[in-house]
Amino acid sequence: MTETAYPASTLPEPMDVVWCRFPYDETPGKPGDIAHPALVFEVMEYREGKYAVRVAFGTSNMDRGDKAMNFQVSNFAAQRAAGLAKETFFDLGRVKTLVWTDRWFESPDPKRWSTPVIGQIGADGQEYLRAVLERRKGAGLTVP
Amino acid sequence: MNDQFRAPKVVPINRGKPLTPEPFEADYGPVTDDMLKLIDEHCPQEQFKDAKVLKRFI
Repeated sequence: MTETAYPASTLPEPMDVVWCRFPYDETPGKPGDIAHPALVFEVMEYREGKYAVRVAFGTSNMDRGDKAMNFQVSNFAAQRAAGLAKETFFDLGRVKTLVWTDRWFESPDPKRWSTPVIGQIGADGQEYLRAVLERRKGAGLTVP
Repeated sequence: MNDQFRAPKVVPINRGKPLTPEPFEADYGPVTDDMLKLIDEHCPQEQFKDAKVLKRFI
């Protein structure tokens, strides 16, 4: 499968929300997975001129017991700023680094977003996220 | 005088484009272990072990 790197000028910032694609399962008859929003924690250059981002994946459906240890975007204004249409939980235990190419990231609607970046987490959300990360560390859980 | 009933003129509340893009409607379930395994197959994480971090959330 060919993939095209996005220009370095399109690289997201930490706390940007990006639209992330998933590879299709190659099992015949099994449908591929859908795209997810993801929260950027790190931007890196892994080879000269080659970039990747470390992200935590979002879900609109999380078990009640997991919510306290993950980052929830539920405030309407925060959702809109993040480019999200509904309450979203970023699973801080499901974090991966992905190459910044069109294989992994895309704009959900090029007419609205010219890059895969669909929004940002604001200062209030970031402060809340820091508290959640501290809670995770205290509980011995992994952090991004 | 015109006695015919005229329907009221309907004026949209928002005539312009929204200031911020409308959020993208989608439903996205939990990210499963199988999905993470597929990522590892197609984007091995070892290739990033010596990467230079340009920006990080702290």
